[in-house]
Amino acid sequence: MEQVDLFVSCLVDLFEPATGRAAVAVMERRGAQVGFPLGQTCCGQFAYNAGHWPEAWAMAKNLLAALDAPPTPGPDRGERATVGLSGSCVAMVREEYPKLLDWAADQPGWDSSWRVRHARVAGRLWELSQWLNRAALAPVADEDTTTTRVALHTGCHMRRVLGAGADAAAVLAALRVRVATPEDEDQCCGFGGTYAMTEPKISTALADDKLTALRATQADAMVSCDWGCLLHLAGRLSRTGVAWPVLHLAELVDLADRGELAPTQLARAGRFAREVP
Amino acid sequence: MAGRLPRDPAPWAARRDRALASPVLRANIRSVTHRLADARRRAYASYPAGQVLRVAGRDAKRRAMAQVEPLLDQLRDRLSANGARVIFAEGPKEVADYVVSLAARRGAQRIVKSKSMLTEELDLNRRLAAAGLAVRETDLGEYIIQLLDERPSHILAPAAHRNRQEIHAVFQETADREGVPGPTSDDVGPLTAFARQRLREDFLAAEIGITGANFLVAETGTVVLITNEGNADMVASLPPVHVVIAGIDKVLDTWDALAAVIQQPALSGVGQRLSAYTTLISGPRAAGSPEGPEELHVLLVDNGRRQLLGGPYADVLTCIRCGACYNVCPVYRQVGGHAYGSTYAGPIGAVETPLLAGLDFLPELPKSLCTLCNACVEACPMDIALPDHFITLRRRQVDEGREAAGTRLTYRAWGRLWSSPRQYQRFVSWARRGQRFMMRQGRLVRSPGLWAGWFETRDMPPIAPETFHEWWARRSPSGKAPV
Repeated sequence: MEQVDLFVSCLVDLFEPATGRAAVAVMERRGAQVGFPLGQTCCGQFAYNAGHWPEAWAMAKNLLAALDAPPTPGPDRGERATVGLSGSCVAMVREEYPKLLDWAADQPGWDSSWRVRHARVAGRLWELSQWLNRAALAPVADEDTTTTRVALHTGCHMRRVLGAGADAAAVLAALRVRVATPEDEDQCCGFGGTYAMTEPKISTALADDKLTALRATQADAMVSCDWGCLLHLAGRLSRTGVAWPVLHLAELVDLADRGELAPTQLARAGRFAREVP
Repeated sequence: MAGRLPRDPAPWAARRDRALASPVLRANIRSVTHRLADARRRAYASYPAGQVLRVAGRDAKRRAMAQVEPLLDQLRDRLSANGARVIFAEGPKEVADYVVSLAARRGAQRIVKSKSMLTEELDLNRRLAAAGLAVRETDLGEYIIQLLDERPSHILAPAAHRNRQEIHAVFQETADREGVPGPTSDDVGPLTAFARQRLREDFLAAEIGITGANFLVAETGTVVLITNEGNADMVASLPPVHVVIAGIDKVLDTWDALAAVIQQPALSGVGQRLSAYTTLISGPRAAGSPEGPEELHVLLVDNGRRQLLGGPYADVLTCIRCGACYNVCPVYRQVGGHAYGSTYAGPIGAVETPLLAGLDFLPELPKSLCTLCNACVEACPMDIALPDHFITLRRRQVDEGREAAGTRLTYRAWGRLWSSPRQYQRFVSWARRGQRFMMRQGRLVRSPGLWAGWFETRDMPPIAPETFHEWWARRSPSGKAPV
């Protein structure tokens, strides 16, 4: 049985824990024994991107310690995989932490063992769709689900920093879910971490363009591997009174596994899109 | 030394809002950027050698920036041997003074120019006009914005923010003022025909021609100009005096380096394999030659560039001004170039401007004009680490105390609470208590402080009744993995 640790991200933990629960179900269904390193909070990306590196480094150390801690019980973590539920956070740990480590190495109190711990953690860390795509999963659902179409939004860090832009589509194809690709699919949705808060006008203009492109696919739902993008886009749908199911990939895969991909079932699971008054 | 760049006196919020409130500008910018970005993609896809050359060209640019001073000396020696005058100039004042005194010595009144972002950066036209000189821009886009009294909104397509109808209107106005027939319609043909007719007269009348340079080859002492309109050839050959004004970052070591990089501006900028005109200049008219300028002056300008050499931002100096990063930038696509407030816009502008002019100059650029989507570094033919530069410039702003005190405190508290599991739990219970006052119909609709901006236009779910951590604890109370 494959041992997999879950890295849920702060947004899933705090705001969308159903995504984490769906991920556990999906992974267990594929034969994984799922563990949850309890010390995890946030990867620190929001602070890192905004230039507040001492804070980012404090959070990074906490996450590295949590993901590197020996499991109880279970085999040594070196033989385990860690699966993250956000392409952006996984990209942060794998691709940006080395830059943060280089900076930290010049700060007081530096301990070079952080590099070793980072190498261990990053070496076994995957984003969920990467893990699913690697796991050569056969569709669990018996039912032919080809009538369901979802519009896929791939986050920029997932696509460009992590280089995992194609995995989610492959996973959905294996589950016989039809994927609609929006126009300008590689353009940013405008979330950008704290950018969504500090520059709401530009951020919202970008969200509206992205939603127009996604909605133009006339898909049954929108799906992504990042709750950063999704909270921003769904939050905009909610504020403008547009109802359209919004789901994380983990939830869509869970529904597909259970053969519950009818539009009404997607609408029930896809939350945070209020009915048009 | 820090460089000096022009700046729009309007504050960032005003510049941003002006752009966002202009649907025509946004439609124009959207259309141009998508067209150019698609053209670039297609060009490289159909030309695999372009990628190989791109890497060789990038390496050549980096190699040159690692040995700028000896290359500049070599360039000066070669050009001087061919009869050119080579001058090292510090910044805007030195360049303008040189041209003004040259014009006085020659008794010159009329100047024609080809497109040069450096002279925009030096605000040269304004300085020359103040000295009583008549300057005519001859690149079509530059001609249009000169008539409109605007600055370039795009590094490659200066009038990208204007459409045919607007161009027709300003040409008609010009025609009326100058008492000549205007363009017969707002189609591309009649518009260019009008500009061509007007500019031809300026080419023939000018006593000085000013160009920039796309590349300078030290080995051979060559000034390289590329254009798609051929106007630089006129500027460099018709007037009796030719002045080249180029940044020190334009130097390359060898002819092979030039061969490696020469296609990249066209490939990345407009999706062509080569610009329509490539002009190689190595000196003034030689004795016995029937044509060419009597005098060639080459000004090699610093304006803040040397301070970047050998440092973490040196790759910024390898920029070939193709505009590929502008075309893919989501923020640029929304607001266009004028919102950036100085000469250079897009990702490279937001990074390079404070690096050249100092972190106090337009401090909003690294913060407010980038979502960190990484599209720029993906498009950049020179692999300039733009996203990293955005982040480290923000870090320098924070480190140097330029962030508002309230924001700094918020990050400190946020960082402290979220860097230990126990504090994080405490945060969750506080936030749950606080959020009750900020909800409507089960959703968060407002928030204080740093987060307020979100709720101007978007809702959020509240912190869940049961976080994932709490669910896991309930599911497996010992914290052990469930079997």
